[in-house]
Amino acid sequence: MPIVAIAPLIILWSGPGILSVTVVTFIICLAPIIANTTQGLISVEENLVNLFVMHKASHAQVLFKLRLPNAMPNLFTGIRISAGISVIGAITGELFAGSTQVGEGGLGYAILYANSQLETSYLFALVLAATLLGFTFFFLVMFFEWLTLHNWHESSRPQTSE
Amino acid sequence: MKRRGLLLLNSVIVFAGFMAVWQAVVWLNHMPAYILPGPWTVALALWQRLPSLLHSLLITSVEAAGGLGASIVVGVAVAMMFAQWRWLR
Repeated sequence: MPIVAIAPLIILWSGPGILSVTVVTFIICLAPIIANTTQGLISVEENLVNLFVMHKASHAQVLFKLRLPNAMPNLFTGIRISAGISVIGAITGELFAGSTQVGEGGLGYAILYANSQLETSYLFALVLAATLLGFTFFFLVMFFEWLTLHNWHESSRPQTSE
Repeated sequence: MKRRGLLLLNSVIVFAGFMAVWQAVVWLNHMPAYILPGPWTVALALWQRLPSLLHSLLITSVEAAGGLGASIVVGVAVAMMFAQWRWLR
């Protein structure tokens, strides 16, 4: 969905402020997660599904015990993409949907303010802070990915051959 | 251990070099501070505006984290539905 087109509607419904920006971020982040997770859920090896069916597993069991673990790496790929986008989305959202009260607008509004006041040094500082935030998100997601996958998934095992 | 020290030294040198080039560009071209401030000016502004900057950063991180968290919950739920009912896709 083109978020710029929907933003006025969001502001109309929930007013400018943290809630609106969160909704904007949510909409932007959603697509990569859905696409990647779906791909993981449906690309389960046929034999494994048959094995589950052979043991009379229910639909829910196949979904939660087989498809969901299988989709975990894909889910984290989606989250990793969305983590970067979320910071972009939040700042872009603040540019037009953020609160304009002093000190409540977040980085996006502060960037607008610094730009309009020609306080370029503050602008640089804000860009630095935004970059830092993006990196923090990225590494947090990397950490959670490691936490979830390092015990069992092939992608996180130390390489033995080569 | 020695390798790690070397890596740290390396990144410090790269960082310092980048800052030096930046400052040199500002000085050599006589850039006014409102077009391109030097690294020292930026550091000063960062320090002076730290409270309001951290407050803005907090607001933005709450928004970004909230949006991301909600999209993970909803996204996984929607993906499950997509996986269960092929005709939905």
